[in-house]
Amino acid sequence: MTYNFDEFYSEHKGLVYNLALQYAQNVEDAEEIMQDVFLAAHQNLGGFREDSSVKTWLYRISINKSLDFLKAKSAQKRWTIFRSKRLDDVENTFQPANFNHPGVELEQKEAMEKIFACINKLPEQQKTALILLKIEQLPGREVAEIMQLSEKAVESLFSRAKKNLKEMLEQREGI
Amino acid sequence: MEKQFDILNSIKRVEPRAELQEIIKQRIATEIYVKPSWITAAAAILLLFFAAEIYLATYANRNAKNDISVLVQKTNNNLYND
Repeated sequence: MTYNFDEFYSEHKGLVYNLALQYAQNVEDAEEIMQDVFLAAHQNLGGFREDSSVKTWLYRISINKSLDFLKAKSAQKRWTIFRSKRLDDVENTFQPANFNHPGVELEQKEAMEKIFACINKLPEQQKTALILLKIEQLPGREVAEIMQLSEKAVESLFSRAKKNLKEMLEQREGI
Repeated sequence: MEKQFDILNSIKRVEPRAELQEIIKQRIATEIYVKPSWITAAAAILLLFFAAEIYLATYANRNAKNDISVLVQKTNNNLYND
């Protein structure tokens, strides 16, 4: 499959960047993820079988690269803490050092930081379903195609994510 | 909770900075990419090579033992009548 990188980038940069931001919640990390995604897309475009749309394919790469990035950052953090011998303080999930999401208005920053801190603790599949349905506002059918699950499975993941989120937020507020 | 949850709807879509395009292009140009299939093929060839080496070494060793047995005379305890 032949392609022009500049056209491909212009058409899909918004999709990739915004998705990376939902996972990383800061510009620096989102840019790094974006580089990884376009590099992987460039290297694998030859193997793209066209059994799904390019958009769906790119969403999958973006999700995988974002999750890989978060895992690597968590592992790095655990290693740093291990070296300082304070294992009790290790959190298994990635929390960004600085919440700097350019799509969030200043007055909502604090509330958004709280909810994203809980979203970051969700299992990967639930987190992805929530991000795609609620933040990216994609239709259920499309999310099912991206995640390679049935629509019912996606709905189930989304309701479990909402339930877990509710419990975590209530815990934070001491309810 | 619904209010907190619905706040997620307010996240705006943003554009990445313009410089990123060149950064990515440079990374694509400089990154050395080795296809996984090539790595598998190289590993298979190396494995075959080592297997062959081990086989030849074992084979050579067996042959060497036979050669040595010709050189080393067997002790004969027969008493000969002069």
